[in-house]
Order: sequence, then C-alpha cells, then structure tokens
Amino acid sequence: MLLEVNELVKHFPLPGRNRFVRAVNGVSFAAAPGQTFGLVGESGCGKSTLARLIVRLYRETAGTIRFGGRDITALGRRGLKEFRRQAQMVFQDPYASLNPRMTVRSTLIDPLRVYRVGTAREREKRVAELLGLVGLDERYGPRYPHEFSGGQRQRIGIARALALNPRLIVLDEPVSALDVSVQAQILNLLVDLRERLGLTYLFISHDLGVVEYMCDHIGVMYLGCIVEKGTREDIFQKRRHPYTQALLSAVPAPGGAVGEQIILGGDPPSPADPPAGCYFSPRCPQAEDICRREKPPLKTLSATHTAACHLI
Amino acid sequence: MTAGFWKKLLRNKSALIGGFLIAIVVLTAVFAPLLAPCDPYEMHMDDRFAAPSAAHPMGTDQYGRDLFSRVIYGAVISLQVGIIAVGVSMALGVFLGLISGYFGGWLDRAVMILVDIFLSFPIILLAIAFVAVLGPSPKNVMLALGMIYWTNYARTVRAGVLAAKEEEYVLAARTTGAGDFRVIFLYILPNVMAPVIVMATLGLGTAIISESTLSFLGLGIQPPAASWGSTLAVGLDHLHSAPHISIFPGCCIMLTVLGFNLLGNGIRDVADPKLSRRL
Repeated sequence: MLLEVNELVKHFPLPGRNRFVRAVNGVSFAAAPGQTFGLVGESGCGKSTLARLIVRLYRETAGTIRFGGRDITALGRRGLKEFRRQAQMVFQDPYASLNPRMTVRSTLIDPLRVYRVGTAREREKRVAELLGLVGLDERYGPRYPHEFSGGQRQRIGIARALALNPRLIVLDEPVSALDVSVQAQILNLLVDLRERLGLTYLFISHDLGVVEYMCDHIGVMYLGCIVEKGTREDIFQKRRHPYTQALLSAVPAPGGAVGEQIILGGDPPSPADPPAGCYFSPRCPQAEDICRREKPPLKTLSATHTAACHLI
Repeated sequence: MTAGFWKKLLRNKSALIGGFLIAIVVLTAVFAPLLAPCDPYEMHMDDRFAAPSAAHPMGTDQYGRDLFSRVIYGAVISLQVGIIAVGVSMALGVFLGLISGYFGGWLDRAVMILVDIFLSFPIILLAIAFVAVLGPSPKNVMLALGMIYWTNYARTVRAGVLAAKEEEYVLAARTTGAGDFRVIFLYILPNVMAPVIVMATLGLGTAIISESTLSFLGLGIQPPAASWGSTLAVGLDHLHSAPHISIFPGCCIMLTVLGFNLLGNGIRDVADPKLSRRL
C-alpha cells in the first residue's frame, strides 16, 4: 500500500470550552500504488479536510497516515519537504488555485526552484514538457492565469502537481467547478496521466458518476466517517449501507428508468454537535432503537467490502 | 501591474492631473541647480523683503535671499523627506503586517497592540516627541515620520494576508514545498500590494505636510536649509509687510500635496475599483 490512513481524526476548536467541529472522525483506508481511491460524500462531510490532512496542510488531532510505509504525521521540516515532493494536490477551484500575479511559467518553475531540480535550462525544458503533458501549448508559458478558461487553468493546476514527479496526487473535486463537456476532457487526461506516469490518485468528489468512472476503490463518507468502503463493484452493485443506497438511488439512470428513489429528510447534522449512536440514524429510513443508542462497528462483508451499520 | 493598468491610468483624469503636478515637482527637484537663478543661501542685506520683480520672481526674504531659488531647492528637501519617510514606514508596516497576519498567535497580538498604542497618540504630538528626543535634523525627521505612519500599512497588509493565506494558490505553494518566507514574499506580498501603493502615494502628501508642520514649529529642517515649511514659518513674522515670503512656499506645499492626493486617488480607482466605491 502506498497510502495507509488509520483512525484519522481532525477536530477544529470552536470558541467556548470543549466545543469542536468534528470534521474527520476516525477514518481508515488504504490506496494501492497505481490505483485510484475515491472518497464520495455530500458537501461538509469532511472530504476536503481529509485531503488537506494527507498533504499536511492541516495537523491531525489523532491517528496516523503512512506513506510508503513511513508515518508522515511525525515528520520534521526536512522529512516533510521530502514527502511533499512525492505527494501533490490538485485543488477544486481553478480560478483560486493559481496565483493571479504569476505567469504559467513561474507557477510551474517555482516547485523546481524550491527543490533545486536541474539547471535553469533544464527547468525551462521541464516547463515545456509539463505543458505538453497536460495538452497545452508551450507558448502559453509567459501568460497569466486570467487569460485562460477554467478547463485550461485546471490543466495548469495538474501540470503544477506533476512538476516534481510525485507518486501520489490528491485530487480534491478536480472537475466539479468545470462545465460538463470540459469535465470529460479533464477526467480522460487524468486517467491517461495515471497510466503513463504510474501515479496513484486519491480522488475526492460528490459526483457519483465521476467516481464510478475514475475509481478502483471507493469510500463513502458521512459526517466525518467512512460508512461503507469497497471496490467499485462492491459499492455500485452490492451496496449495503442505507446511506450509500440513498446516495446511489439519486443517480439518474440512462433512458430515464429511475429506480425507486430514496428521499432523505432534512440536512446532515452539524459536525459540531453530532447525534448519539449512528451519525446517520436521524435521517435513516430504516433506523431502529439501537441505531440511536450505539455507534455501529465496521462490519466486514467480504475481503474488500466493509460497512458500518447495525442492520447488516 | 500589467500593461492594461498603465493604459487605464493614463485615461484617468485625476491621475493625469496629479501625475502632471508631481512631474513638475520632481523635475524641479532634479534640475534645481540648473533652474535656480541665484544661490539660495546668498544674502543681500541691501535687498531685503523685496517684492516679486523680474530679478526676483518671488521676491526676497529677510536676509535678501532669492525666494524663487529657495523654493526650488525646497522641492528637493520636501521630496527627499516625503519619499524616505514613506519608504521607512512602508517597509516597516508591510513587513510587520506580513508576519503578523501570516504567523498569527502572540506575534500578531504583539504587533497589533503596538499599532493600537501608536494610534492612541495624536500624530503630530508623536512626531514632535520623536524629534525632540532624537534632535532636529533632516534624517531624524524622516525617521520620526517613518516610525509614525507605519501603522496604517501594517493594518492594511495584515488584513490582506489573513484573506490571502487561505487562498488555494497559497495552499498549493505550500504543498509544492515552498517555505514560509517564499510563500509570504512570492505568493502573498504581490497580492496585497495594490492598496499599499495607493496608501504610499497618498502618504507622500501627508509626509510632506508633516515635514512642513515640523519645520514650521522649528523642529524639522533647520535654517539655513530652504525647506518650504521653515520658509513659511519665517514669513509668518512678516506676514503684513512681506506676505510673499509665506505665500509662495505655502502654494508649493498645497500643489504638491494636491498632486499626490489626485494621483493616489487615480491609482486607487484603477487598481482597485472596489475600494473607490467604499470611500
């Protein structure tokens, strides 16, 4: 396994004593080299926090993250810099993730300067190569981000993530800010790059169609926890958790033959004040007394498939 | 600052008039030795308090020195003091604003307490206190003004940093290995500079007025140096008999400050349309 996340917890303190936003609540999963692990869930379920924990933009409250067998939660300054060379991130908003005062060339060359990669001439060559990799003309180098469309900007963001030849790329909703027609192009580019460069992806999205297309393994998140986890087939064909079932029933099928749609009442509870027992129990159509009292353990359904629910 | 910025700035009337006034002052200062018809320090006791004439376009002062030449040399002093005072306060304020906004915590609290302390004094009183302690000299006037006006830069930059440091492009810089100082100076600073440039332009006007005030009070540029403020103060004693001694340097101060204010407003309108609507 390239990336192993174990019982990861992140609480953000709120004003007042002992008040926290429980953004990530004991999440465990692992991603194998060359594969794509997907995380799906509604907005506010802690997906982005999890992504930022993994690339060490946040410090965890508890738990461990192992990368290539090494615990990266205890890294010092030098170790962290070495880790960052191998793990990169692509951000959600292509309009906010590029420095408006930097040319494309500067944006791509800066990571190379930080790590003292190559000579000045080799760096220039690398910039041209990176632009080529993501399907942009190398003459775009001297231009500023505002001269590009959303899709082109996201290609620049991907090129930046590739600059240091990383092994892992965390993709935080990389296509959700783009037009549907552009989404497909970017997704194909990502699949292509994964094959060519042997990358491992952690792919975060709320779009089930995109996740099904991209991911080998999938974790379904609800309120900071993974409620169900398995291969793509496990989740899309053999799903067991009521939340996963409700989520997937909302996906429109081609031809309009929509199955029985499960409508969930209300909104997800506040992560500052989660309900007792199973976090999903207040909205679960099948909830019983035990669900409201006890937190369900993660049950193993097959070698690859687990779910946290009292009723399965 | 892109090419579009300069094009828009040239189309802005306020910036154009301000820029024109400043250009005159700057050129006057640069070419002062060529432009001044007389030595500004040469006294002619037989020609005291002379009214403006062909020989002395702005008349002479109480020692018979040519006022026109003194006003021309005054431009050098005013610009020097203004630019260095603004430079000092901008460097100090921008640096403190950057680190307090970026690192937060006790550093941030300490800087902000310092800002509040400085802002709790009337500015000119603080300047007088500084100069009284350091001693009146051009260098100390610049230093004193720099030490006073940094607070505005610090507050503005800190606010900008607080917003910018959560931007995705800053997070992206951190994930690509950039250290704190690289992030601060390469990624955050260029994105918080627009209001600073506006403040600095307006601040040049304020600094020139402050220098004149200090010189007028006798705490700034000392005679025989030809500061506009000190010349104005001298003229005060002879306001009824020879008003021209005060009028000409006074007009120079006014036009220069007006120039900087117009230019500053123009830059603000062009660089940050959001700001101009608020003010």
